[in-house]
Amino acid sequence: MKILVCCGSGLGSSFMIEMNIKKVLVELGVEAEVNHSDLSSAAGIKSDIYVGTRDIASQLTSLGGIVVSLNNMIDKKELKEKIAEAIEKIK
Amino acid sequence: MLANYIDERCIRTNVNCKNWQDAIRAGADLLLQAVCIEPRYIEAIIRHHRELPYMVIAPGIMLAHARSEEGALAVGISIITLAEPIIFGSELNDPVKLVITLATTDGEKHMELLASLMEFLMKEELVGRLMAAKDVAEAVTIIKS
Repeated sequence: MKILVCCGSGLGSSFMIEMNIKKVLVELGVEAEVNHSDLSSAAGIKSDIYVGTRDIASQLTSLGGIVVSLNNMIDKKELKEKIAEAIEKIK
Repeated sequence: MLANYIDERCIRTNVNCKNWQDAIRAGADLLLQAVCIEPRYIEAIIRHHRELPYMVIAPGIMLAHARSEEGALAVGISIITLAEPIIFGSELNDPVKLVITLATTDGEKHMELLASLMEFLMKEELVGRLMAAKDVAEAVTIIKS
């Protein structure tokens, strides 16, 4: 399974979310490859799940994967629930 | 920890700003003085935010940054709290009270800074106290705790 985290610049918030997703995956006992990129490169990186903050996520819906939209980037509970839900859909 | 990456000269509390552009300039100006960015980096942040207000990452928190090639000279971070919360045009996370400005050059130091920033931001109680800090000394104490 591949998860791609996107943000506007591909340097700041996407990397910070990626770190938290890796922690969440350990807690969920799920193995997945997690990467981050900027919005314009996202289309070229085929993934099962695309993650972004709310304003970014609305632009990820055409990429063909499941989109996880985060309201609050530093809320680990929201992240864990939404990632778990997305993984369920793939299974 | 975050305290290892931030210079006290890059912290201001209760800054008076008229609007979001003003608030972005106030935070970025500290990095300009610290020679972490060129002036064009500030204009790039404002342009990105105008296109999409995605940098308001959590309730009350703006993580202002542009791309490294848009005028970042070194890894740096500044933190300002606003005297009055300001509307940044974020649907869910307005108004903003805390503006964190990052200068990002790619590489390991940048990654370590982001990791320690994330660690700090997830301590909700500390972030609340930082937003309410009366002066720079108090803000520094909170960041170091």
